[in-house]
Amino acid sequence: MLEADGLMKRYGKCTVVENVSLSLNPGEGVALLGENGSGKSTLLKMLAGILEPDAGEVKIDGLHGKQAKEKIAYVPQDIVLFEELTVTENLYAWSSLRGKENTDRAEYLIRELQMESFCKKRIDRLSGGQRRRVNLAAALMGNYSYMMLDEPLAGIDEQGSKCVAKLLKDEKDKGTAMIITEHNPTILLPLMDRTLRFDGGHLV
Amino acid sequence: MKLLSFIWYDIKRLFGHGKTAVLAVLAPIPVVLMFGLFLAPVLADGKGAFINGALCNDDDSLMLTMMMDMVVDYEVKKGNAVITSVPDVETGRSMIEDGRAAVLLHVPEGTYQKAMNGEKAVMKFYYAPSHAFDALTFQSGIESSISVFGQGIRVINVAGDTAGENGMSEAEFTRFRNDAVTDLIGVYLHRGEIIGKKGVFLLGGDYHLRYALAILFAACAFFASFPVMYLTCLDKSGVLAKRSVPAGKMARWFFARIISGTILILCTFAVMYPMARALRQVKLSSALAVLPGMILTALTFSALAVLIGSLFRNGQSALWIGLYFGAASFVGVTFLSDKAGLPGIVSLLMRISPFRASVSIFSNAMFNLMIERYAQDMLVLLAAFVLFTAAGFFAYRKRGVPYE
Repeated sequence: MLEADGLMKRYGKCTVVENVSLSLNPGEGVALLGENGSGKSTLLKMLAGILEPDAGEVKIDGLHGKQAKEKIAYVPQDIVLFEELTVTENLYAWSSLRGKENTDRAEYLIRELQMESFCKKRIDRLSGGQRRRVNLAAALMGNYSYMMLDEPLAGIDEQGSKCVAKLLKDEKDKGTAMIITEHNPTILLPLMDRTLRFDGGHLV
Repeated sequence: MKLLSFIWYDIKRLFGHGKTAVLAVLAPIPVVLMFGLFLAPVLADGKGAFINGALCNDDDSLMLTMMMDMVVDYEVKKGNAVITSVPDVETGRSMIEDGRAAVLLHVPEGTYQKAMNGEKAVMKFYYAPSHAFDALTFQSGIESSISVFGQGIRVINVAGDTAGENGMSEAEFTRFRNDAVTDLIGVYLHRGEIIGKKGVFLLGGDYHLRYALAILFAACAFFASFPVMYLTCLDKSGVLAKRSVPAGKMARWFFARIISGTILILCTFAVMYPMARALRQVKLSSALAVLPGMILTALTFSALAVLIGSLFRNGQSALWIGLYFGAASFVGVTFLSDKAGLPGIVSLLMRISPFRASVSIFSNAMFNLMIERYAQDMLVLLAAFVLFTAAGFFAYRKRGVPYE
């Protein structure tokens, strides 16, 4: 179980996230909705251990810090890939950085996200939507039981979005819990168990 | 994934920034060409080398003392050197420690007699590591002088023996020899003027040129490490920071980066060495001596680049710092390291600078190998490599890694 208690983050004098507490059960899906700049991404980063909160704490299955982080897959809003490597090489590299190289998992994700046609291409030669799919796949390499996805469908076409939705449903069915931020929740919202609205740094 | 795979991926990434890597590897070509076409001729017509040395002459033979005095006086009068006579080796060595002399020549007792008897006469040179170029200049100059002078004396002695066999008296022989030695010294001392050079040592052009070529090698190697610096900075502030990568998993990536950076720098050497060889007739056999120096230089500069890249969040900041640091270091090595009276800390930094060691290795190994100096410089580079790697590893793990 993921438990966040009293999370707060300030940038200078601006409080972006203020006293947020939430919990996430194994296998549960939560959609985090809100306007641009409402603090969703900041909250997600704190939950994923990417950003240190100014106050509050996050526990995952009773664990803190490094051990907790290893249980989380985080899909950043930015494209965070090795631009000079191919899709396959990226997946191998990221799986190694997150644990052990897992070629079977890489092949599975390439198949599920329909990346076969461009898996030998370098990242910097892919379209925006293709890069988004690789970005998601790279985060899903490794062992994790919680996923934080920051706008995973941004820039992906309808066909690609359906692939992503199917993959996330499969993951959820396997017991992976996830929190998703999305501006256009029509495709992913049906997969989620509950919805949280975030506004002005607060859950409302 | 094995380390080799990481290295292969990292090489692809380094060379994947095609223009940057190509620039890093090929940029030395126009630099060497410009050096060869424009700078080298200027240096080759350069003036004599300025040397700040000490001399401890324990040999009381008249001939050697006269010869040394005349050579030293001549160089001092020409403004090529300041050479201080010292009573013993300890005094000379303390002058080196204090930075008042770059090099000490010790002529042991009986040196001249040994030389005359055909035995091996050994003179000892002591020098501070930061003045290795001066040491080379001074040692080569003195050895050249002694060698030419000794050959002349031998010819005079043979002539005297022949004259003695044909009835020349002892007194006549002594007068003949003294006149001949005086002539020998006079002609020798003016040989520089005969061929249009200044001073006895005749070291100006070629030695400056060798030194400049060595600086060029080391500088190009350092500047070739800039893609390593930049990519490391981008990784640490971007790719590796924005995903949740455990710090413990970064070790292979870190060492792969150092090795791939080393390969990039060695590519630069692979381009430069044949050009330098064509330019200055570097002996092919020197390649064997240069190669370990090249590898260790490349490793050290690569580790330094990773360290600098890990310290900054912004790639451009890292490059600017690298540029200023490198430029300042090379200027220091080139123009300041032989200046006495530097503040103690600056003098110490010069002495242990990997930049100086690298320049010294190239000037030494490519032209006139002195094993002792080579080993010292290699040790300095090795220590710098270990230090940069340890500091770099610490910074690499800490910088940009999400909190734990």
